[in-house]
This record gives sequence, C-alpha cells and structure tokens, in this order.
Amino acid sequence: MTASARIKKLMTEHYDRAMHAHEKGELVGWVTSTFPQEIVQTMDLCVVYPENHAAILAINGEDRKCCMEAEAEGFSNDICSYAKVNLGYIDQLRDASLNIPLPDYLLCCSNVCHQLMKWYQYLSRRYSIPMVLIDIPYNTEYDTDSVRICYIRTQFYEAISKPEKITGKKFDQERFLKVMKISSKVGTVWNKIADLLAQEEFVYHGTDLFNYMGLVVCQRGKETTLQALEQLYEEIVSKTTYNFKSERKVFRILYEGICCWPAMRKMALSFFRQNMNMVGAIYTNAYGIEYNNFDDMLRAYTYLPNAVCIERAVDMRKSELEKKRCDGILIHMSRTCKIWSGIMYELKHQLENHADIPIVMFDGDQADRQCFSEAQYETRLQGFKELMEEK
Amino acid sequence: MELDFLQFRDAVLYPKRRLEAYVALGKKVIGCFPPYVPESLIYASGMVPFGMWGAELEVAQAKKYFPAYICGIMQTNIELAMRGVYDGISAAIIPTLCDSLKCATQNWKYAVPDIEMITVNYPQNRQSKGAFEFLYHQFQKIQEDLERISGNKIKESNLKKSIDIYNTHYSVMREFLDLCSFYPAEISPENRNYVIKSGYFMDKNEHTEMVRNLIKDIKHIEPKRFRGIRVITTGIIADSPDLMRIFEENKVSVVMDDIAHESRQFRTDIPYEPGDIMGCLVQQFLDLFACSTLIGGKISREDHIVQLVEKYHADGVIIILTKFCDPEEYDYPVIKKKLEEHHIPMLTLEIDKQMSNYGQAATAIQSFQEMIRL
Repeated sequence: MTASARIKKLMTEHYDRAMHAHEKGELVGWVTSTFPQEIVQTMDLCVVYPENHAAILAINGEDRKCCMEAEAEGFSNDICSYAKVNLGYIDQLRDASLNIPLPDYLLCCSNVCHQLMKWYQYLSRRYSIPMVLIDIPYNTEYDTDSVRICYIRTQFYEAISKPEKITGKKFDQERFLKVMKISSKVGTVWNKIADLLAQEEFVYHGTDLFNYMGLVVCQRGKETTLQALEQLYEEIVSKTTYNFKSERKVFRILYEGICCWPAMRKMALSFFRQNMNMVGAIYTNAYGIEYNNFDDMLRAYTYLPNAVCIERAVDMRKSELEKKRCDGILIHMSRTCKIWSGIMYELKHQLENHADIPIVMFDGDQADRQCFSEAQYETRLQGFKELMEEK
Repeated sequence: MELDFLQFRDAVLYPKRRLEAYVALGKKVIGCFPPYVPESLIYASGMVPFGMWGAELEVAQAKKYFPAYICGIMQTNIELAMRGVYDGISAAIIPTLCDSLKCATQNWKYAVPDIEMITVNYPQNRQSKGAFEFLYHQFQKIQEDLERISGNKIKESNLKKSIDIYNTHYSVMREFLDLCSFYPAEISPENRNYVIKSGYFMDKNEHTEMVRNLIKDIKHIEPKRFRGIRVITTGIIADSPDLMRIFEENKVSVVMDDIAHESRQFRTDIPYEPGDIMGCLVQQFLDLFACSTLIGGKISREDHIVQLVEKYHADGVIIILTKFCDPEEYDYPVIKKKLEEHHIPMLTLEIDKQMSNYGQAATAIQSFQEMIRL
C-alpha cells in the first residue's frame, strides 16, 4: 500500500470509528484543531475535528449548502466559515458526503482564535454538553514566559480530570509519555517532509501537504501516523511515487494564509499549469510540533501561527523564505479568518521591505466558496508569474 | 424644571478639548480601548483614563492596516490616531478580548508608533485556578508600565482610594440608569447616552458628582405619562446621535441596556478585600458576566436580557448589532431564540461606525413601535 493510500485509510478509519461510536456505547468529543491532542491520544478518546470535517465538505462542494443553512438559523455570513459549515451541517440533519456524529462533549483550545471559543460555546449551550477549555491567550510578547506556561499547565491538569469524569477513561502517565514521544516524532517527520521542498530540484507538489495534513491534525499522537509519514518520506526520497521533472524553471512559492479549501484542487492544478510549486506554507508548518519535555510541549502550543505577535510571525516567514529560497509569496486573504487577515497588510508590508520578491494577494475563504473568485485568482496568478519571470 | 444635560453633551461632542485641557494641566492621559481595561489602576497612577470607542467617520488611512470587514471601532480608533486626533495621549491600553482587538494591538505598533501601546492579555478560562495568578501578573506588568509613564509609584493607599472612587461611580451610574426607567418622557435616549458617554472623557470623581447632581434634579420632578414603548437595548455600542434621535422621534425609550459601552461597565463592582488590593481588580474581571467577549459567567447573556425585560417592564428588545463584530454574531441566534421562546418582541439593527444614513433603521424602528402598540 502506498503512503498516500495508507493515510487515506487511516482517515477513513478515524471517521468510521466516530460514526459507530454511539452504537458501541462510546462517547464522542468534538475537538479544535490545536487542542493538545496528547490528552486525546493518551486517553484514546473517540473524537472528530469539525474544522477538518468542514474542510472536506468544502473540497467536496457542500460548503454553500451548509453556510446557507447556518445563515437561515441567524448566523452572520461574517463568521468563520469552518463554524458556518459545521453549524449548517448540524442543522440540515447531517446528510453530507462525509458525516460525523453529534458531540457528547467539547474540547476547545483558544490558541487559534477567539471565534473557536464562541463557536464551541454555542455548541455547548445548544446541546447542553460540557466544554473543556484550555485557554492559551494571544501572546503580544515575542517569547512565552513562565507565567503563561504556569496558567496553561494548570489548565492542562484541570482538562484531564474533566474528560475522565465524562468518559470514564483514565489518563495514564506512562502512556502520556509515550504519546508525547510519538507526537514529537510525527512533528519531526512532518517537518522533514516539508523541508524536502527546500531542495533545488522538484521533489513533489507542495500542495499535497494540504491533502496529508488531516492526519497530523486528527491523529498526531498515534504510532500508525508516524509509520505512514515515515513511509511517505521514504517514498518521496526514493522517488518511487514522484518522478515529475520539468525542463522549465519551477517558481518556488511561499503560500501565506489559511488554505482556501473550496479552491484547493483548482489551486494545485493552476500551480502545475503555471509551473509553480508551493514549497512553503505557514498553515501546514503549524503541525510540525516538536518538543523535548512537558513544558516544551506547552510552549510549542503557544507558538502556533495565530497565537503570536506580528514580529514573531514575520520572523517565521523570513526563515521559511530563506530556507526554501522562494521566488514569490502568494497571500490568501480569507474573508472570514479575521485573526489572520486582520494583520495581513502589515505582514505583507514588512515582508516587502525584507525580500525583493513579488507578493500577490487573492481573495478567498477557508470554507465558503462564495468569497473566492476564480477569475480574480487566475488573473492574479498570471500577473504573479509575470512578476517572477521579470525577476 | 428642565433637566440640564449640557455639560454631559459638551464632553461627548468635544472630547478633544477635554484631552487638551488635561494635557495643559500637566496631567497624563491613557487611552482605553473597549471593552474592559483596568481603569482604576490607571487612575491610581495619577493619570486620566480616556475612552477610545471609535467615532462616526469615514476610514481612509486605516485601510492600510485593516480590510473592510474588521470591526468599525478598531478601524476608526486607528484612523483617529493616524489623523493625530489622539495626540497628547501617553499610551493606549488594548485588551485582546476578540480577534479584531488582537489585530489592533499589532497594527497599532506600526500605524501609531508615537503612542505607546500596552496590552491586557485577559484569561478566558476564568473558572481555572490558574486564571487569577495569570491575570495578577498581567496587571502587575501594566502597573510597572503605568508607573514608568506617570513617574508615580502606585501605592496601595492610592489604589484603595481609586477602587472606592470607581465603585462609587458604578453605584451612581446604576442609580441613574435605574432612574431613567421611571422617567422615559423626561430623559431622552440621546441625553441618557450623553450622561453615560461623557464619563469616558472625564475624571471619574468629577463625573460622579455631576451625575449625582443630575439625579437630585431628576428626583424633584414628577414623571409625566409616557405614551411610547419601553425597550431594552443590547449590543456593543449604541451611541450614534442619529439613532438616538430616531428612537426619540418614534417615542422609543431605553429603560435599561445590556450594552458593553453602557451598563456592562457599571454592573460589577470591584470586590474590595483588605490585604491584596491588586487581587480585587483581578477578581472584578473574573466576576464579569453576560458579555459576548467573555466565555462563561454567573448568568448567560440571553437569560440576563430576559431578566431585564421583566424587571423594567419592557415592551421589547432592540438588538444593536455592530457590523463585523463576530462575538456578537455568535450570540445573536441564541438571544433571538430565547426572546422568541419568551414571546418578547425583538428588532435587530445592524450598525456601523461608518454609517451615514439611518433611513433603513428609522423605518424599522417605526414599524417596530407600531407593531408593539397594536
């Protein structure tokens, strides 16, 4: 079985387990994408990640149907479209290409944005179910200090006791240490796979990382994930799967912003046609979480892209630009991801001052296709290529 | 006897004069972004807290930093700062209580480099044992910044005095707002708003005295019969004079509010306990409730609104939805459902700081009050 097929199988099993959980008397939790999954895997909780689910529905063209349902319920079209898709999905009796069961409890971490907390707060009230919150406050300082770690550590221990009471499953310290080891190794391999794109010759389509990231979001602490990614790495390195060679110059792109899931396939195809490769992406890099010990782990969760000050954010991009020797930056201005779009102009300005490479923006959204204009995107991409060619 | 709101009105219409007057007196002024900032800590340092809740104006320069779909309060605050309107302020304190506020902290540093920015990173998991200590440290850092800027050490006695002043202010404001519900014919929505909003541009002690005097005058009047409708307003901000005038023209009286800019500022006292004064400020934040920017609280927002309707014999609720305010947007369906369950008439108005025409709102308000009167 190829790594790609293995990854697909693991994701299918992940969703299958959830869909049949209630039949087996198992409770299901809904989890935010950057909640410390070490707790989830240590306790072998049966969970789904609604953001990942919303992305899949968006790829499959079901986003608009869900968004309209959410808007009919009274939600503004201004809110995060991951939330809109999910809130519309639960209203339209859950009849989609991929289904998830309703939650029995919620695990929420605030290190992505404030909207995630509001979304989960709504779910908690709607279904009268407990919401376990680990709050990682936005850090306006460059580094995470010990006071912040102390607050997060206290919540981590508080968070363990709640799912224990809810599910009856126990948090085992020894297993936790194993899960931490595996999770960090997965982070390392994920980073190694991403770093292969730093090589001069074409190695693989960088947009494939968007296909694989579901696994690192949903099952990062599992041995099977580590095995699948190690296999993927070996396949790429041995070039058994990828043997694309191009005689023409392949433009190396840093993709900035959240993934525009409704247009992801179009983007991948248009990069290919325009002889571009996404060699770097802040969004996929976020899951290359590596650490040596417990406090390191907590610290790692404070350095996710949307939880840091702009200076640290800019340094992350500078480092990526240098490592991947990018010819240009393509910025996705997501309409409903305000935590990201709200600083994007200044981020762009600072990167323009730093690197003499073309930077182009296009409008879109992570999970609502009505915010994406294919005509605008194609025109901007064409112009982007011309600018890089001039250089 | 005619009630006199002129002083309040002047403070609201000419806040820049107030700012310049304080600076001319040698006082330092600290700008305070919404929704919550430890004002009593600023006051204890000898500096003047000055509200920064945006303004009704067209954004031009701030577009360099914000896309159009970011909250108008953030956009107009940065616009005002870039235009030099806030020149004279020694620093701006910005809490990171929503995603737009977080972006505002980062953009401010580059858009307004001459005015220092201090952030308040509030904990959202307020039930956690770790929240108290975390916020305590945040407030201690802010204290250091305020001491550096003011050149004054914040002594415990000053902080205690400041807490007393603020608790007194909260109490007097609650009394005034309560009184408004008995005088719908005498206290127009516009004047009611002037009394509240003027407090953002004044020394709190001074404002408390003015409101006390106004309360004395109000109590001398026999309330006239009011032939309009009584409403509870809810939202982030409802300070547009045009909107207030439309309310008045349609005989809509705001008998109480659940507005972040208004009563949410006064409903939670700083719980004073001798010994750890800073801890009292921390506890006040942990005690806040029924606000869209906060997770948790002793009572949900929608239940609180229903209680206000019952307590103040309101005929309905007007939801003032600030455009692009996502915390409010998540609360809206919940509030709507609760009001429907309780058969409470409801009107939703979407407003924006950049609105110049309230024609649609006027029509909606007129229809709303006609419907209630039927």
